[in-house]
Amino acid sequence: MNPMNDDQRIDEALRHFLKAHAEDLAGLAVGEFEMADRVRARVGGRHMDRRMVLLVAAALLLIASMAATAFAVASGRLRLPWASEFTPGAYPSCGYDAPPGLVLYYDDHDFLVTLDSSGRLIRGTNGEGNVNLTIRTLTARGIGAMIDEVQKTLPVSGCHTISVPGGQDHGLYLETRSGVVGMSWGPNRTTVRPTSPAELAAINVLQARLDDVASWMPADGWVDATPQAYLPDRWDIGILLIGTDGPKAPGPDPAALTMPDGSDVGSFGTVFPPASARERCGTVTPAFVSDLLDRFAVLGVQHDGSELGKVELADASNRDWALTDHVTGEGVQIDIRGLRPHDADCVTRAQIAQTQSDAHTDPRIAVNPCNLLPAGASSSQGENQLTGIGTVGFRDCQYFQGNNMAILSWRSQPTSPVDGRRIAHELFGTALVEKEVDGHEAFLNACFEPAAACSPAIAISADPYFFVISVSPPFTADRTEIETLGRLMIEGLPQP
Amino acid sequence: MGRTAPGLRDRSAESALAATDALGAFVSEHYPRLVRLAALVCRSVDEAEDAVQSSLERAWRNRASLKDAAKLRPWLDRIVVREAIRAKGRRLTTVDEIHLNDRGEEQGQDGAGLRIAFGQLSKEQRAAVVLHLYMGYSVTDTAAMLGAPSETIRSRLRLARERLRHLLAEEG
Repeated sequence: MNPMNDDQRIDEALRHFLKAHAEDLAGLAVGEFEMADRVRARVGGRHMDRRMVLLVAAALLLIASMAATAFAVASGRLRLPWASEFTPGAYPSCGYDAPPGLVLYYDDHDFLVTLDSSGRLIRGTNGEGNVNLTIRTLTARGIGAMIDEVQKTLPVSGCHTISVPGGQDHGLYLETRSGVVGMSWGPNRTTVRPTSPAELAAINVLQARLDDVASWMPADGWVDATPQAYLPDRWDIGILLIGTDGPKAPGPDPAALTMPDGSDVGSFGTVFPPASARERCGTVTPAFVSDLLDRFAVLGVQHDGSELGKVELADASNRDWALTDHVTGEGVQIDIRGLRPHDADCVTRAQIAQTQSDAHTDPRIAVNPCNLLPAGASSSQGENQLTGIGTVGFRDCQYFQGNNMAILSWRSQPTSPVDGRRIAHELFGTALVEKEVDGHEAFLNACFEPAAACSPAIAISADPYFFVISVSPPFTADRTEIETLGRLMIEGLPQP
Repeated sequence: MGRTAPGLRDRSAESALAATDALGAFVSEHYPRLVRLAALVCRSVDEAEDAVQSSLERAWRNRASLKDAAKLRPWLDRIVVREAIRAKGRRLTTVDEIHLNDRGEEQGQDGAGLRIAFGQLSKEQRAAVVLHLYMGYSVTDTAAMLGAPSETIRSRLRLARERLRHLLAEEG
């Protein structure tokens, strides 16, 4: 091996220094969650292009009753029995864009399937702004066959999100029909239970089956089996004031632009929260978009890299058009985006974003529960000591909030089941539910934290560990869901 | 199972939650790398946060304009490094005001010397050094990302080495 020359030695020393220095600096920066919230606030909190997640937005509990019900596509738009459970806004994380139907995103395979309640099966590439989508239409029998297929591979009922491996933080994140439940722990401080091989296999099986629908869908499952290009019948127009520091391509003055409904860029649609983001949006018809594109052509408004001239409606989706205030120099960006059938309209999304924004100021989640351990406990970051019931070091006390929820989780060092029970009673006072789940003791209490910060908590004493998970704001979970969660928790226990 | 070092925040839980929607996943995947890149160039954590936030926002809005997914990472890196060079932010917390953590202290005199020397480089020089030596980009790619001729980048790297060599010799 050749000896390093002087430059190489300097470079090598620099590499080592930069690596360590970068870690030091990054450790002082805000975390990814906070950064995601900041960016989300700036881009309007939209959650429409979910990548790296698989979202099943169909409550499959009522499959049996649905199968017995005769649906007729010809009778008009169907309303699936569980539709009311997914009222947009009621469940911020789960119901945001959850239709009364089925939506699957599976990023590893760039995979998207949407089945809406009228039998429209839409699929194509996810993450490209709803472009290049195709649509086919199922009969009632086809809808049933599709949902049966999903139910066979994803037995957990309700709305759940499973992120697949691909990064260090992969894991399973469960949302129940009655609210949001998060799980957070795991070996090696990953804090989220890794997706199990069985779950991953199930996802892969489902993905393969849905990739090849034609091979198993009965002939009478289709109204029209030929894929057609999907052209949205609703479009979103977003207007964003991006200041003077945004993209530098100058554009025509927005003062010269009158929107097709007579408004201007400062009054169009509705304000999208937070107001500080200075964003407005509106959901409009295809005719409105065509008219707007005509106006862009006349004014010479371009999207990034486009030529001057009219852009056809079919090519309009996911375009950002640039204007520049000729007085202030401020950039104005207008983005046009086609909506899928299940995408919430602008007003609905704005209401949800406002709810989320309000929740961030909720005093109930403004405290750090890691600092609210029972009297006699001393705490420091990552570890707390309970006294009086033996010495149990609680590790990995984590508290994080956002998206209208907060999750607290921690687990003990190895401890005995007896101590686990004592800890649960010490923490909960009187546990509302105390039972065995798969041979382990489980405790549930509706109010773990002080009354002012009342939040449901679940504890599992599973020799030799003791876990507590608390979720805020309160949700109403039924016993089945708690038991399901308990089983999932236990399955994810690290081996001591 | 170790404790989180004082002064450092545990990110794993945040990452897990952040990754529950598309934007969160996008931030979760790229933020750790980008904030390191920006912080090294800015030498101000606050400026780095601002630069990365602005860059992520812009990238997210314009992500559809990137047709080749394989180019996402260099595309983001380029946006961030340019934003970091331009950043004239709050400058609330600079590197020199930060207590080194245990690892930093273990670097000893050489670590301190390198830190001082590195801090004396201009942002443009630091950007070239960071992209080439820390991020591993070639001189040609670094030049393209910074919008400068390759020879300029070689010159910046040469000057940076000279400065470091000189400072370390003075300390030695």
